[in-house]
Amino acid sequence: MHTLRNVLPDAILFLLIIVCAYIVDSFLHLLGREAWGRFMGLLGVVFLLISLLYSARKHKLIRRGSLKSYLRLHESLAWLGSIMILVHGGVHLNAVLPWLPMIALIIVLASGITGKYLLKRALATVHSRRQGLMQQGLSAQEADARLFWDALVVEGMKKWRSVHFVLAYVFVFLASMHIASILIFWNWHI
Amino acid sequence: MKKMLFILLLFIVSLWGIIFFAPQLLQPGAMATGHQELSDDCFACHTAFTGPSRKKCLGCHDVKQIDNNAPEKQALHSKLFQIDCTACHTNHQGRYSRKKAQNFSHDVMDPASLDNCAACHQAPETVLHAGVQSSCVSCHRTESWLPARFEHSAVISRESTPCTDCHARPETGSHIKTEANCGQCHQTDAWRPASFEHERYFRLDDEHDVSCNTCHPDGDLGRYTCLGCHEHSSDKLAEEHREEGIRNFQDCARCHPSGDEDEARHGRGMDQRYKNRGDSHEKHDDEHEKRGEHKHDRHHDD
Repeated sequence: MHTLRNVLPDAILFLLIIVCAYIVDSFLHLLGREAWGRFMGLLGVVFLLISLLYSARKHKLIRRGSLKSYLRLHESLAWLGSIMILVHGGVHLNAVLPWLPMIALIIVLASGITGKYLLKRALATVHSRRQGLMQQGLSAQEADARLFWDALVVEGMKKWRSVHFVLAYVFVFLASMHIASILIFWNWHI
Repeated sequence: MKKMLFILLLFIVSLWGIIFFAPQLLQPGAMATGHQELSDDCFACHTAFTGPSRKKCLGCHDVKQIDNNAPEKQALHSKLFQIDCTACHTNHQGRYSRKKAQNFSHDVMDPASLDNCAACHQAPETVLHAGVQSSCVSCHRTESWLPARFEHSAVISRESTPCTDCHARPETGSHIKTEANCGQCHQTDAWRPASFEHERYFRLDDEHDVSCNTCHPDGDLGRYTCLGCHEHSSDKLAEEHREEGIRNFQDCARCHPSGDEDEARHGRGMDQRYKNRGDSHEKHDDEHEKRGEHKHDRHHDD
């Protein structure tokens, strides 16, 4: 029951992306403006690229700003960008290739939200252990020093991040194939 | 760096492989009829980074020779202002090709031929269009057939053409009873607003200066009652009329079309149908009594 309570908000967040995309797509069809979806794909890609600033901050390519605020930016822009890309794809089956990055995107999203859940769990675990150590008479600094090397939690997060990165690379690879094929074959006279 | 180069190489090889060995993955639908043999060769129609080329279309098709068996198609193609095949046609079937067919724009036509719709289109064989002599564009636009801006003046012999030749009679309470011409209440520009002359059916004089709901309960103009003011109950109404020997009194307006009590007494207000037959109140009522009929539902039919 406790686990379900923790998982539910993240699962709702994931489903909300699909629901929002469906609503926006239906709205565009209602207005006869489904062509806007094409441009929402471009905007979505820009959002996703900006969201990668978190990764740049994490790898110290950017040194200003708190990591936490970059993480929030990454989560929010990835969420919005994904909705736009889903609207861009719509529910229409055209060519097969564009659907591959779309499927990859959904998997990356699911992976990102899983990471969010794991991070939440890790922080809760660290917090409860810190409390436990302090109750045993350790000072706050001593408790932090011990928890810093909490291999179990850190290793868990590391494993997830490497999976998330691989999935993200696959998405970028397939999306680039889709974009390149559009650049080569699109009817630019329209 | 080596890793990046490897990924770039993998990307180029994958894309090249798809384009030349699995182009179906890129195609937004199967190839159109007649072009199936080109399904493995994207560059038969597309030029890299500029898209489908009309030059390539014209390499196989001669616009002047298109569909010799269909004169109307040939007429259309011979009047093209710009030869841009992809403005109307697509090689791929599927959702986008259907949209494309709907997106035909008259902009591709030679401007001189735009005034001669009949060169490509057949005149609709409807009653509405039978008498039309003006150009199609006086009512229709080239973007779409509907909505159209209809001018009644475009229909010849307008005065002698009954409205019901083109329009269905509305089956509403206020329309079922009238035999009047539509033009007495409605304009040709628009159905609404309409003017209804109540005087033609029942005179609203000083004694009948009441709200609509007094006579037409619940806003239903197809029904009326006089009991809201007169006698207040059907029993009293019956008593009043039976004293005069009148038994068919449910439809008040039949004998009192102006609300004047005396006009019924002098037979002035009697329904024209009964007057023409020379029936008196008594004779007419007796006939109905014998048949067990009552006309009180006459105003309840809608």
